[in-house]
Amino acid sequence: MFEARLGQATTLKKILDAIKDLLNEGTFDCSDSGIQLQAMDNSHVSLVSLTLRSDGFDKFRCDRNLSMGMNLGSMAKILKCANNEDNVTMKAQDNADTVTIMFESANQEKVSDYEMKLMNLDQEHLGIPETEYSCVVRMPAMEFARICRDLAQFSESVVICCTKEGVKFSASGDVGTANIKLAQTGSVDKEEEAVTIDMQEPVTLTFACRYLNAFTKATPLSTQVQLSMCADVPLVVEYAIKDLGHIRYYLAPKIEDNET
Amino acid sequence: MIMVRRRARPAKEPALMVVTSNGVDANSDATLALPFNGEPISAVAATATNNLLDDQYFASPKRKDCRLMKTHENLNAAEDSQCHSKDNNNKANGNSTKSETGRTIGVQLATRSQTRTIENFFKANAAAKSQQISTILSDTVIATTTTAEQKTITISGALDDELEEEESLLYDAHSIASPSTSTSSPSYPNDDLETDNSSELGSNYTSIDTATHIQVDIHTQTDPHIDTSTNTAAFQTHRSTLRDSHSSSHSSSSSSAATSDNIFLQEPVLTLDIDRTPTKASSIRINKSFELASAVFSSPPSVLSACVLNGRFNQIVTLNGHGQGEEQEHEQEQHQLQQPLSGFELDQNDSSSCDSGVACCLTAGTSPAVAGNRRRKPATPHRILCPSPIKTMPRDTVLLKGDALSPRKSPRKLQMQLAASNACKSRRRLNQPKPQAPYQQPSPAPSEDVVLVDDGEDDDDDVHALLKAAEERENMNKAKAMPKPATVAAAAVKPKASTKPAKARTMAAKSQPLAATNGNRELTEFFPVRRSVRKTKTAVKEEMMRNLEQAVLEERCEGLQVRHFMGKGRGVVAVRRFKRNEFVVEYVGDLIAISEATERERRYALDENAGCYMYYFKHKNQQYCIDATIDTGKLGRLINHSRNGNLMTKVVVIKQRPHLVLLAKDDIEPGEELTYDYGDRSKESLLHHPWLAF
Repeated sequence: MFEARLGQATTLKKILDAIKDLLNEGTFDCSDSGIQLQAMDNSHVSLVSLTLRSDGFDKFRCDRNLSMGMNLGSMAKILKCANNEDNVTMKAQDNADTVTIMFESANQEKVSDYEMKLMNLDQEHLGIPETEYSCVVRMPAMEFARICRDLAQFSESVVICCTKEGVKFSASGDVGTANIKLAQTGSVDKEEEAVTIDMQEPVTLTFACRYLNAFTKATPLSTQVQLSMCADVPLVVEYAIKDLGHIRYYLAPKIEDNET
Repeated sequence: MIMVRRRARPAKEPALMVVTSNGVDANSDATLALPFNGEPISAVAATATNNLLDDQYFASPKRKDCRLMKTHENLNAAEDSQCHSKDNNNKANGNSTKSETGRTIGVQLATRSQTRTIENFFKANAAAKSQQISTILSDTVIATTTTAEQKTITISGALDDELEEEESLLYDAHSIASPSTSTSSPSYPNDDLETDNSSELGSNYTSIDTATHIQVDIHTQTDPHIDTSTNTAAFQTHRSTLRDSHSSSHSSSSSSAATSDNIFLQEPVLTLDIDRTPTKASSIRINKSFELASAVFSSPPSVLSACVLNGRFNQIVTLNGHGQGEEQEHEQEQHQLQQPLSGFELDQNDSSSCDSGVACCLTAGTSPAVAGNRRRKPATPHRILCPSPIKTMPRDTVLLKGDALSPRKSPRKLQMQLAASNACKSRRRLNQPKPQAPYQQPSPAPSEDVVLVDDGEDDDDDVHALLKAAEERENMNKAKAMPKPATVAAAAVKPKASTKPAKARTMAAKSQPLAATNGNRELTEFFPVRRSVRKTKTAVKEEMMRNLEQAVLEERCEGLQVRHFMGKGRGVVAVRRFKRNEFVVEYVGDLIAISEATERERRYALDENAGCYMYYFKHKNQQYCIDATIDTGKLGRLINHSRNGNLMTKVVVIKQRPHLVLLAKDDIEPGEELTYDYGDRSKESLLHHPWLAF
């Protein structure tokens, strides 16, 4: 028996919004420690790793490890039926082929439950090695979303160059070139607006805008985003989900060729 | 001459070709002086030639044999035009025009292969019904011959031309087979089929072959006038024989075909057959129309003569003419002249088409009412707009289907559309995207619109030229791969038609995704795909033992360094990280029995500096000793003692011999000294070696 209850449906909504653009379906692996989802997009260029710790839920019970393959589009549809303030409860029996999602309004006056069929997904699971990244940039999530959106107009790929002074995003295309430099903020008034760079050695990597823009769908989840980079290693874009876990996007770097 | 030119020209630069064709037309009438004369007759002739050119143009440029055929056709056409317009008086003129047309044609002809395949397609369709390729082919051949004969009835000159065309077709196949055309691409399934047919035909064909060969030779000589004359002569000489052969050979196979050589008798029979079985009729008709179409293309005057089929194709041709006009628009000088010309042509064609529609019905033996029905249709093709070939192509197939199904559309219309689609396909190859869409459009659109659209699309043509060349190549390959038309089921028609557009689409689609993921590596390159590789305990143990064995056999000792320690002497330090249970080093020495060990111990006791390097251990209830007293440079013997060492010893049996190996008891950081417990707690030892206590 699996049961997980979240105080606010809006969190789950945002999570679904953050992943449904990249993934059509995904497997939620539920265990005693929480819920995890890891899936690559169709092109196998990016990977989404979602971790929701069990202690972040209002109530969490998972007697046996359970893998729930879900159509994320359908899941998002169901979650649209919930009010933001509703309680959400996900329930599934062991070896069930359906999952029940229940929304309860705050005063318990309205209870709606939806049952969704589960899928048996044969997805590859990637073992992500622990990596020490040579550059870790933390910046406001909104800022990152803005940068990705702006640069996407110029080129389909973005070059992220991280040095001691700051991090530079640049794109060049037919229209012209665009460069956005962010310097490390000296004095931090508000923590969520800080740009911090933790750099061992400078890194320059090229990534596809399209995916970065898909990642920024997670912006509502967090005020800050963390970009971890290392030469010839996938970029990690991490959004923390407050008190619950995090969502990490991995994006393989582009093969850099200067011919174009 | 024509042949040579064609070969010389790789069949590109459509605009140029068109221009030349126009010039040729004008020349035919005005003897080369003014390329764009306003004379109506000349214009008509020009349109006809243009149409021819276009068709060839649209045909794929790959096949030389096709080109040959085309050249012949062109010649014929030129002759036809002359016959119609000027009563064959200007033979010399005609020749000259031919030569010019030949030039232009050469380019256009290249594309012919695809048209051909389509032809075969339709043949195949008919074949599917009749189940025999040969019969079908023969039918089609007969049909062509019969049509030609019909024409002869109306116009003897036209008949000659058509027959010649037929001959040229056959000759085409032969040429493919013949070594003279060995330069042509290696595999021509359709052509082969035709050659087979020709073989059936027998002696006549062989004669034709020889004639064709001769002609080829002549062509290579590159004198246009001589060539044309010789060709025509040869053709005509063979014409009668050919006709005979067709009728005789096919009479048995096809019920419709009359056994008698008389062309006149054959015609009605054919038509009857068509009418009786609608499906078969349609297919046959299509074939006919197609073949005729090819013939018609070659001979513009015959078109004017109001043959039904010709009329149909005239419409197409007129469209072609538009396309040409558009292309010419590229060249601004000619542009202005050309437009009025094209418009005129259109009108002419319209009228002719209508007339031809009636006429064709008549020839087919249909009632006048039917003819009347047909009448309204011919006008439509002119208004065809062609947005882009790729888009339109799929629609064509759909449209064709729909037409076939829809009751209100007359069979003739269907034919027209089929023919149109064929033409479109052929055109597509020719790097002219426009005409395809328009033909398929069933609803009559204003002709002006057409022109405008075409203008807009001219650019596309140029842009797509390269793309199309590639596509053509693909198509060529496809044609090769394709089974012979007979084997192809009727159902295959649609798939094939659809596959081409699909391919085009896929090309476009491909480019898009490529761009999107271009240069992007996949995550699986970085992260290993996890597979559940659970091992049983024994498996894990075995694996470990195997590793140990290997390490021992390799005498592995990396990541270690000898260092001097104050008060202790030499010791060994790790310079890399060792994980728990990882092999570190072997304690290497002489493996001796216990008796030998006591003996040696006694000896070593005498030497104060010997140190203690005797390692006693018990393995499988047997006491062993490893004596490492002799300094071998191995590191195992230099590791110092500690009661809380970070190494542990383990016995590994390799080849029945126990080995002592030292494993990391815990994770070892670089820089740590490696130690292990010597395990000697005896008082005597402690006395001599007080450090053993630590």
